[in-house]
Amino acid sequence: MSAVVFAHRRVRSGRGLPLAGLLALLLAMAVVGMASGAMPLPAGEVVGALWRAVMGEAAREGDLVVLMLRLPRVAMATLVGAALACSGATMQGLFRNPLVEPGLIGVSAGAAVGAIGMIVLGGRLLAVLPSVLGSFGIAAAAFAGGLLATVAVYVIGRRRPGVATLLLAGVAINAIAMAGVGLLTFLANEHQLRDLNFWTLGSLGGTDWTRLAAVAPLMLPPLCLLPRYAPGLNALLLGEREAALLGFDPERLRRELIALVALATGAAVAMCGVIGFVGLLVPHVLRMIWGPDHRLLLPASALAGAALLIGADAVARVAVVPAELPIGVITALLGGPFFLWLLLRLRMGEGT
Amino acid sequence: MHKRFSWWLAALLVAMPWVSRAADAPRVVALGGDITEIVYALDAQQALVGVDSTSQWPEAARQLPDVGYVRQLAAEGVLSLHPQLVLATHDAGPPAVLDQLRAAGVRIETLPVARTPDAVVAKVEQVGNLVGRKAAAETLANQLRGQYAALGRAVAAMPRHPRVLFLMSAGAGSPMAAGRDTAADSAIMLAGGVNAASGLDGYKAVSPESLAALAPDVIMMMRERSEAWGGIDGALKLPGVAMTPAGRARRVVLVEGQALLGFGSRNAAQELAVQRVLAAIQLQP
Amino acid sequence: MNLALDWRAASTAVAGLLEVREVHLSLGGRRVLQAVNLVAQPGRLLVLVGPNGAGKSSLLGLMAGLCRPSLGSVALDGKPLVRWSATELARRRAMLSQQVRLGFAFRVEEVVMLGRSVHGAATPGMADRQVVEAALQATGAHHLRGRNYLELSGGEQQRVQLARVLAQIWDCRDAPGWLLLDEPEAGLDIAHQHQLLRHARDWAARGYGVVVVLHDLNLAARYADEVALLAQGRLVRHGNVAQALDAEVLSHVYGIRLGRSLTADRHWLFHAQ
Repeated sequence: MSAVVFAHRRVRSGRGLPLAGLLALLLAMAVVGMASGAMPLPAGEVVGALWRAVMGEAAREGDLVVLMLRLPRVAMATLVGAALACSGATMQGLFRNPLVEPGLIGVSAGAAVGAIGMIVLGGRLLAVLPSVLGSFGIAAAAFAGGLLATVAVYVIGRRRPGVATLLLAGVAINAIAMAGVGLLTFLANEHQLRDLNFWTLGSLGGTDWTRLAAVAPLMLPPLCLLPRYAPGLNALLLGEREAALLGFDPERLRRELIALVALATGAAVAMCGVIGFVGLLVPHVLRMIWGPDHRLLLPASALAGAALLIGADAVARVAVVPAELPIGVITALLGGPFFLWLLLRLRMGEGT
Repeated sequence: MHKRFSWWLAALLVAMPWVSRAADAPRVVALGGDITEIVYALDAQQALVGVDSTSQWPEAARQLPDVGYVRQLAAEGVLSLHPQLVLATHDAGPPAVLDQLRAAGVRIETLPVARTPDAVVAKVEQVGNLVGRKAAAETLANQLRGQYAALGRAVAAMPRHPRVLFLMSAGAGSPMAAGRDTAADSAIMLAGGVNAASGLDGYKAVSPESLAALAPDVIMMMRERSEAWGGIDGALKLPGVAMTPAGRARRVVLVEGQALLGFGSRNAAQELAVQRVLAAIQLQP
Repeated sequence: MNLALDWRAASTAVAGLLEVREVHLSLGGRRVLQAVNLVAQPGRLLVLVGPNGAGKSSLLGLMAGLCRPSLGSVALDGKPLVRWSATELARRRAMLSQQVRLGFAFRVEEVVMLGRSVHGAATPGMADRQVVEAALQATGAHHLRGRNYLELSGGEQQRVQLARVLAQIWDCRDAPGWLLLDEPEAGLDIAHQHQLLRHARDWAARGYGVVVVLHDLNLAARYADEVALLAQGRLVRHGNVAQALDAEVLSHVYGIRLGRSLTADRHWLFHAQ
C-alpha cells in the first residue's frame, strides 16, 4: 500500500499542533481569498472594509465588493471545501480504501441528474418561477437527486453484509446516473448544453448571502457531527467484525455516516456543481502526513479542504479577469497530476 | 440580512466616486453579439468597456475585456469594469449575479428576443436610446426598414420557395439541424425559404436517414463553423447528404452565422444575400 | 477488591459464567451447530478442538455475541448476550479473530489503543496509555510500538492484535473478563505459540475466562484446563484433557488412527498411527 511507502515520514505529535497550523492556514487563505478578485483591492483595504462593517463606520469605495461579493463567497468556499474533504475522509475510512471519493455513494452523480434534468426538462417550470427562485430550482433538484441516488445505493448495498456490495452498488448507480446525464445531454439544446456543461465543472459564482444562508443549515450539522464518529471509524478500519467486538454497531455507523456524507456533499454539489478531487486529495495527503487516526484526520480534512477551495476559487476569479474559470477546472488541474503521481507511488509501494 | 445589506449598500453607492467620476462618458458593457454589433453600428463604441464571449464582430470588439459566457457571468468581473449600464440579451445570467450587479447600482437593461424585422428595428432604437445615440439609431432604423421592405418584395416575387436545412454543427456525432422555434428557422422564412426541418422542435441531431427523408433543396451552414467539418466538400460527404436534392446538386450555402442569426443590425443585409442565393436556385420541377 | 481472585470468592452461582444452552445455529440452511451445551468458567483455560468445519469458530462467535443462535441462548452472568448492550459487552469480553486486516498504516501503539475505544473518552487518557504499554509488554511486542503495523511480519501482527484484545479487557474490575481467541497460534513460530498459550494460561490464572480455538491437539493437551471436542456441529466431549481427548473418540472424529502417550513431564502427546 502507498501508506507503507510514506510511513517513515510521518510526524508524531498530538492533535493540537496540526489543527492549529491548519486553522492558521485557513485564516491566511481567507485573507488571500478576500484580497483576490477582478477589482484591485489591497489587503489593507479588505481588512479596513471588514473593520468598518463591524464597527458601523462609514463605508468606502470597494467595501461593497468585499462585503457583498467576496465575503459570502469565501464563506461558501469554506463550507463546501470542508464538507467535501471531511466527507471524503469519512468515505475512505468507511470503505477502507484511500482512493474513494464522496461521490462513490452516488450523491454527485444523482445530483448531476437532478440538476441537468432541471436545466434541460424544467425550462417551463423555471419560466413560471421568479428568476432567483429558478436558480434554487436547479439546486433543489440536484439535492433531491443526490439524496435519492444515495438511498438507492444504500438500500441495495445493505442486502449483504460488508462494504463490498455497497461499493459495487455505488459503481452501478453511478453508471446508471451517467447514462441519465448522457440522455439529457442528447435532449438538450445549445443553451442548455452550455449551461449543463458549466454546471458539471462547478462554480462558486453567484454566491450571495441568500444562497449561503440557504445551504449552511444543511452543511453545518454534518460538519459538526462527523468528527464525533472518529472512534467508530477508527474501529471500522479493523473490519466490521472487529468494530462490532469493540462495542460499535457497524450497520448503524454505516447508515449514519452515509446519511451525513450525503447531506453535506449533496448540499455542496447542489449549490456549486461538481467540484472534483477535493474529497479525494485532501484526506489522502493528510493521512500521509499524520496517519490514519480519524480523530485528527476528520477535523484536519475539513480545515485543509476549506483552505484549498478558498485558494482554488481565488485562482478561478483572477485567472481570466473579467471572466471566471469554473472552479472544477482548477481543482482537476491540481488533482489530476496529483492523482497520477499517487498511482505511480502506489505501484512502487506494492513492489517494495 | 440580505435586505438590510442591499438597502445600506444602495444608499452608500450614491457616494461612490467611480460612479460619479464616469458621468462624462457612460460606461457600457454589452452582453450579446447582436448588441455589440448594434453599438458599433451606432458608432457608440467609445462607451463600451466590456463585451461577452459571443461578441466577435467587429474585430475591434475582440480587443475589449471579455466577461465570459453570457449565462455564467461573474459579478466582480463585470463590476471591475465599472459599468453604469449593462445591455444584456434576454438570457444573460445567472440571475443571482444580475441581482448582485443591480444591488451594486449597475443599471441592467435586458433586450427582448428579436426574430422579426420589426423587433430588430425596435432593438436598434432601444439600444440607441440607452446609449444616447437617438439620431444615429433613427437613421439606422430607417435604413433597415428599407432593406426589409426590399426583402419582402423580393420574397413575394419568388416563384418557388426552396426547402432549406440549416445544420448548426457536426461534431463527432450526427449534425444538429435547426427545427421550429429557432433563430435559423426565422432567418430561413424571412429569406423566402421553407425550413425542411420544421417538424423538429428546437435544435435536434439528425441521423443520415432522417437527413435523406427531410429532402432539403439547400443545406445552409455557418461560415464560422464550416472549417470544423471541412467546408462545403466536408458537408457534402456527411452520411445521408448525398441522398438529398441539395447533395445531388451540391447546393451547400455558407452564411455569416452571427450576422444572420443574431438578428442585429447586420441581419437585413444577410437576409437579402441569402434570398438572392435561394432565388437563383433552379429547382427541378 | 481489585485483585482478580476476589471475583471468584464473591461470585454467586452464575456470576461470571459464560453459558451456552441448547444452542442451534443454521447459516444459509446449513446446520452449523446442534444442541450444544457448554459452560465456561472464569479462571480456567477452555480449549475448543475438532476437525475442520466442526463449528469451533462459529461457537466462539456465538460466545462472543457476534451472532445470535437460531435456537437456545448464550448467557454471561446469567443474562443472555442479546440483552447486553454492545458497549457493556465490549468491556467484558474481547475476541481475537482469525484474520484481521487493517486498512491503513496505523502505528502499533495506535492499533493497540483501538482496544481502548470502548472505554469512554474520545481522546485516550493517561490510564489508557498505561494499559497499552502494559499490553504491549505482556505480548512481547513492546519494542514494536512505534513501527508501522503494515510493515510487520504475520507473527508480529498477531502479537499486536493480541495486545489490542488484551487492552480491551485489561481492567475488568467488578467482574471477570473473557478472552476469546480463534486459532491464535496461526502464523506463529513454535516458540511464540508456546509463549502465547502460556500468556493465555496466566490470564486464566488471574481470574479471566479464556476460551481458545486450537488445531494442534498437543498444544491443547499441554495448556488446557478443560477441552471441548466438537464434530459436525455437535459437542462430542467436554472435560479435562484425559477425558475429552480420548484416543478412540479422536480417531473416530478425525477419521484417522490416533494414538496418545504420556511424556516424561506428564503431558499427553498425540500422533497418527
